Amino acid sequence: MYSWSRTVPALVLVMFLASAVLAADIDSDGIPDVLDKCAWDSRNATHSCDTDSDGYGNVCDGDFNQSFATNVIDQCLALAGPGHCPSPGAPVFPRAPSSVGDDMDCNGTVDAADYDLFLQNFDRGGPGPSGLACAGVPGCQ
Amino acid sequence: MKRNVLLAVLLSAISAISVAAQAATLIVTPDASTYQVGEIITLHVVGDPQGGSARGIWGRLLFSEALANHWIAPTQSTHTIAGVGPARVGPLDQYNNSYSQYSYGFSDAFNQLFGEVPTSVEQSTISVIRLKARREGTLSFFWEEQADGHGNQLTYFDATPPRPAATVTIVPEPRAAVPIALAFLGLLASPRRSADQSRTTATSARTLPSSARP
Repeated sequence: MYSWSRTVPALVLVMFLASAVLAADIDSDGIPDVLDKCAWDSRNATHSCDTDSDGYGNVCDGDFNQSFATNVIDQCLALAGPGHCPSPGAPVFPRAPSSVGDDMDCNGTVDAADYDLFLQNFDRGGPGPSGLACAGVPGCQ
Repeated sequence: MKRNVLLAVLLSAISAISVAAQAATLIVTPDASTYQVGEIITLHVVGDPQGGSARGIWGRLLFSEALANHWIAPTQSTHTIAGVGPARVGPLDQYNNSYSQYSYGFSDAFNQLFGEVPTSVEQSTISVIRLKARREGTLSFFWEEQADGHGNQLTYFDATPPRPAATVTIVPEPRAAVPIALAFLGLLASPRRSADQSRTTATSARTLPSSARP
């Protein structure tokens, strides 16, 4: 004889756990972690672009050359944009955003504020973390 | 005239040697040439900028993850920039399972930013990387370059280190060598035994009466 008395509480528990996972929001920015392209950084709630479409929001993505490391190579791209590296000379600020995602605050201009965000990313070492399972793969939206 | 030509050749040779002497160097030195499985491999990375200038440095050593894996987090010395203070130091990464795009192990040796314009630093760069030997074989270390396909490039002033940067040999640990040796001896003995067996079978077949043969 099938026992509903055991199945129903188990289903309720599974649904409760699933809703808890879906509703989790570590950085309290209103974006559930599973959809958050910067799961530990609330600034992407207002600066929400992902120019290079890699599943990491610009604000937490200083890895401009998609190498999974944020380093001196990305610094060159942050300072002068593509076409000027590896010898950029002096920083080129302000300038128009490029396809690598150097407009880190998504305001339409690359300037010293974006470079400050890049330095914060450098301190962390790599992009993200992102809640999207496809993060790091081109075309991840 | 001939003397002037000789003098010019001599002067150009001297200037070429002096330019070469100014190139930055980057040397990886293991603390031994041979390790047993399970032993710790310690690599000392010493770089000398030779007065060169740069906006920063970054270097990642690649190696076979089947032969060795990282043991302790790598360390790097921090450069001091004259009139500014310590360089901005980034984290040193190591291979882990989140890097599915890498089919080999890696360990970063240095990761620092000096400024927005090329800056010279006087001190040497010293990093220490420790790995654990996993399996016997020849283990080589390579600085990651663009050609390796991940977009990263060794950046250490104008240094062009050798490829591979270092090579060590890993041998089985003595305890593991005993069963391997026994197995080897067993293999050597087995053809003789099977040959003896087949000879015995053939002899007994010959001694069987013809009616009993299949």
